[in-house]
Amino acid sequence: MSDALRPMTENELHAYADGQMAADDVSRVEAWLTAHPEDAARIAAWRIQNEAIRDMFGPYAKTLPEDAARLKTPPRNPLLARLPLRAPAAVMLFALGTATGLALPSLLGSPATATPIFEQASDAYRIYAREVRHPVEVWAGEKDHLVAWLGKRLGERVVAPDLTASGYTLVGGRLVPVDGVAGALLMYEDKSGKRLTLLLGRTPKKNETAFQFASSGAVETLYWMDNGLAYAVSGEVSRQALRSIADECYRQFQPA
Amino acid sequence: MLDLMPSLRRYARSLTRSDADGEDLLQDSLERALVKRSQWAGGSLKAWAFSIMTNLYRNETVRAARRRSLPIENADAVPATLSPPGDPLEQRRLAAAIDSLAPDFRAVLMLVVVESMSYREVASLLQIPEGTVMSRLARARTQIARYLEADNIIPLRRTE
Repeated sequence: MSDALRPMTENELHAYADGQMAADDVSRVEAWLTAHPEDAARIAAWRIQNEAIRDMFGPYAKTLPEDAARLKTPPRNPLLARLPLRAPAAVMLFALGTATGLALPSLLGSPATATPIFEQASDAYRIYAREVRHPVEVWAGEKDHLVAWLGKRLGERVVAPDLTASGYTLVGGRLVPVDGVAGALLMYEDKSGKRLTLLLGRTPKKNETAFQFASSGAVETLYWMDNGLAYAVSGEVSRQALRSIADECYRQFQPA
Repeated sequence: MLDLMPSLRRYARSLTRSDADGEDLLQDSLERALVKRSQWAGGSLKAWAFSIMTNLYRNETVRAARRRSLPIENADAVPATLSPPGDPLEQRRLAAAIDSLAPDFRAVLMLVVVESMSYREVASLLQIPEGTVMSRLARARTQIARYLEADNIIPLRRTE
């Protein structure tokens, strides 16, 4: 008698349904299933169930923006956590956090609770720069309209800096919220399609700051404030490249 | 490790049956993995990370049972914001069916079906014989089917 007529075990049927059976055995199971439709129906039901379970859990397999940071932070030391020192240290950290929290955002012209401009900039880069069909609201073809519109919404003079010297051309721009009010996002790309964004936000005071770097994952941001606007250039490029681009932006935003 | 985080998050969610507890388990597992990273003996990083999470979850469940302080919240299952594909009612019932499984059965089902691990990988990860993996899988499937039938609605007929 041929092996094909040996009854299938439950385990073999499950292994077949899960695609975990050696190729040699597959034909044996298939022969069995042709002769035993009730088993074929059970396998079909398991497969439908598998599919439904995968569909259901698929959305949970997501990446959160803080994931990379969570891998970098040194783990809590369980011994340290038990020391009585912990409470005073926490108080101190809190005080320190409050102090810097109060001091720093005022430098950036935003309330203590606001997301700092560089984070808003790297988020905007991450969200919009990967868009293939709708990276911008107004394309570079309508550049004059774009800068006039954004300038009007921001209440400040907006220019779309010419970055061709660095190899980047204007893609276009869009209106985005920055610190809760209208801001602008200009997008550039080079010949290979690598993109940069320039985020512009209004600042309450006529602040002026030095250029500062911030990294968020692979995204580097260089930001500064000048003349009533906060500027942030973001991209997945070296800090050096970002520096020269920021220099150009800075120069071109100076009143003529 | 960063590449594994979505899968780990999903597995944590399936074990704990709650978004918040899932994030906590994920966080604890990451910390454990970072502390013990020198103990990773090469091989599959995924299997290693998953076994850390499974063990943490088991320990935590044992401790919670001893304390008798954490009644596991009822399955209000999949949050609306996720809007998984398919009929939302069926999704809820399936979620409830899966949640009704014993943790060890749920773990096997998740690792095989969702994480596409082989029976052998699951066996070594959970430190149980391969035969036990298969019998748990079979029983999990039967139990889910029975749970869904008990409601007297035709289960999981997806629109083509």
